[in-house]
Amino acid sequence: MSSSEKKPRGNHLELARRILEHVQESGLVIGQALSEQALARTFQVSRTLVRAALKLLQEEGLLSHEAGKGYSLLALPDQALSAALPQAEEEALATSALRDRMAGRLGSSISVSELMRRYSIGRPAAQKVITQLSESQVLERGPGQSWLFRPLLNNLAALEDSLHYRLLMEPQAILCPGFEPDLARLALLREGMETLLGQSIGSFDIQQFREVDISFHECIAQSCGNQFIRDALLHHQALRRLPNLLPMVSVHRLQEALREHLRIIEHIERGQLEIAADLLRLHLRLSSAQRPQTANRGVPQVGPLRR
Amino acid sequence: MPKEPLIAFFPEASFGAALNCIGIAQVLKGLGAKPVFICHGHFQGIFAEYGFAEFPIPAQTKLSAAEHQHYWETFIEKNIPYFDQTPLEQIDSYVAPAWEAIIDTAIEAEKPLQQLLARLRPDVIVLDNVVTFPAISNAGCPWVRMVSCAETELPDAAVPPYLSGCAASDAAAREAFVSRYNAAVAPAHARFSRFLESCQHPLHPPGQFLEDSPHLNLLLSPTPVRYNRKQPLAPERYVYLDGCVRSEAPYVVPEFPAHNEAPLIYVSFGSLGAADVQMMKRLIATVAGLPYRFLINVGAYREMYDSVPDNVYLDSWFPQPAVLRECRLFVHHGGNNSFCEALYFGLPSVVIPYCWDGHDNARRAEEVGVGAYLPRYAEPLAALPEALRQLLADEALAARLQGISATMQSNPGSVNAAQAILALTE
Repeated sequence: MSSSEKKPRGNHLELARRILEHVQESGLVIGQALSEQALARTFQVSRTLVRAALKLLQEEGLLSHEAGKGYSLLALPDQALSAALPQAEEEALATSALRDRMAGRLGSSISVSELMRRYSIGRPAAQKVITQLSESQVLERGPGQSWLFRPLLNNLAALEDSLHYRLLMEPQAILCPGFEPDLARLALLREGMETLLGQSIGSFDIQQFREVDISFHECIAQSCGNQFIRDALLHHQALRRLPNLLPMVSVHRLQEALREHLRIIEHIERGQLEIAADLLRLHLRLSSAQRPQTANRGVPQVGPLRR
Repeated sequence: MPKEPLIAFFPEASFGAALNCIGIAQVLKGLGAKPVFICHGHFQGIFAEYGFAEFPIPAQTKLSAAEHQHYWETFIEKNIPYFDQTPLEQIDSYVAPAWEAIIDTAIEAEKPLQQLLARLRPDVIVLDNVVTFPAISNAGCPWVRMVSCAETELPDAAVPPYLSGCAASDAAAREAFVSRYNAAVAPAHARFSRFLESCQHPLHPPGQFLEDSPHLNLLLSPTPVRYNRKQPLAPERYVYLDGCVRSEAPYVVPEFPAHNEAPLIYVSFGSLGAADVQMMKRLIATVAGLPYRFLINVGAYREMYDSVPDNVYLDSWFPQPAVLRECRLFVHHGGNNSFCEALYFGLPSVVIPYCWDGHDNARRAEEVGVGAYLPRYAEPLAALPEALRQLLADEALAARLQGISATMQSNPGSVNAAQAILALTE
């Protein structure tokens, strides 16, 4: 990565991405204004931070700015544009470190000097990576100068535990008093799911599935009336967003999962939250890996292996 | 509206047979039939995941989770050393005990299978196994023998003996293998004969455990690797298939820390091969310094690996057909499905077999010039870097494999199999 290019700050970039997603989901049209105050309220951040993120989008040609009038939409964002946003240096390095941890290339603990050596970077950059990963709750302090990776979804047992945890928590997120679904967002998610269901097996977009799937479960979490359940579930979905984590089941199962999502959305829209919670429980049960893990001819009646 | 024909597949409990049958079942479904799967009780889940109804045969001996774990660990510990033996040595250590276990599954399955077939009343049964289940020929409908192992499973004077890894032309090796094999499996054969007699089922010749179907036999054997049989198989009852490849979504190749343009190589030794973690670790150490990227299937043992090199990516499961589409070479154990899929996607094979028909396919890959055979008893890892270099540099081979791939993809075995199966319902 070139160090001469000035990188935007990670938190500005992250907010810019979320604003783009919000613009897409709210169906804003070109020319429509974006209110700093409303965005600050939506994302529960300061107006200064919102202004910095909007400026970044202006630099990317997505927004225009007129003195006294504020920001308005200049072009409709799509995924390509969103992906084209420059990545903050520390964010790119943190992503590399996570990718390598997920792939087993980094051990369970790291230090600043190890990061410096592995990624050929200076101490300040390595420290920023550590800060970013600990802010995302991926790292925690270990003994001495070391930092320990918290549990990630990088093995079969962790994936199984994750599903069990979600099975306990996600239906409750719907059933807790104060569940307030974001119906506009659910409608957009439904569109995305229906588009995916229109794809043949041979052209099914796994990454798009992953995006829609995690967004759907995030939306459930965000709608929860209990702030602690909401927080815990959002943190867990963030783990599912880490690199290298693609579903390891056949497309048929992914298509079924999308149909299950659609039914859950249908019942949320009708206010039938108990049915929606039951369907969500069923959906998560069906999503746990069912296939045998080890088999061969001549190996008699041995059940699935849990490691 | 006429009832959709019910096609009951019964593959053995191995991923090769299962995924091969799934490829055919996907086509049958598109043609308006209703494919369902009968499976061993411990091998369920994979068919349902691909959207097919599953009917497990319940196991009579129930083991607890701890007993399962103990059984499997003992099995691995006992058998892995045998994987380094020659095919001839494996007859006594691995093959004969495997036949005993296979026969146990057939005997145990007979009664529940009879009951299940009476309930299902399929129009056709497709058996993808290596042993007779009398309930199938007594079910009152046509049945198909699907040979998803190497073609050597159907004996012929011009075809090397099944599981021998012999060259087709080596008469002396053939004789030595057959006599030792028949002697070693004789007790299992005698026990199975008593069982067949008790079911009033015709007996098999020495060394044989399954008869051909009087209705239809399908052989997963692509044109370039077929043998010139002394007694050619009658085309009305025997259909050769050029690979039965299932549909999968496009595979997203993971980003590697470096050399993202280097040739991509897929390594998979099947779920049993992955259990040999020490061998896999040695393989990873061997390929760490090579100028290629490797996707390596480590099965259920993913967390036993740390310090993974930058040019290696490990996972517990890969959608093999979609992965091979992105690769330049395939290192595998000679499982027939893997071998056929390598050809289907025009990839050279490096075959490091550890048991069963892997030996036959390894020898055949070398004989017909579509890959290298690196026996486990002859330091395969020392020979691996040079084999990879040679195969990747061989432009003539790449061109020939592209031709083979084009022919196979224009004549998909799964479609031919599905049509032949449906013809039995007319």
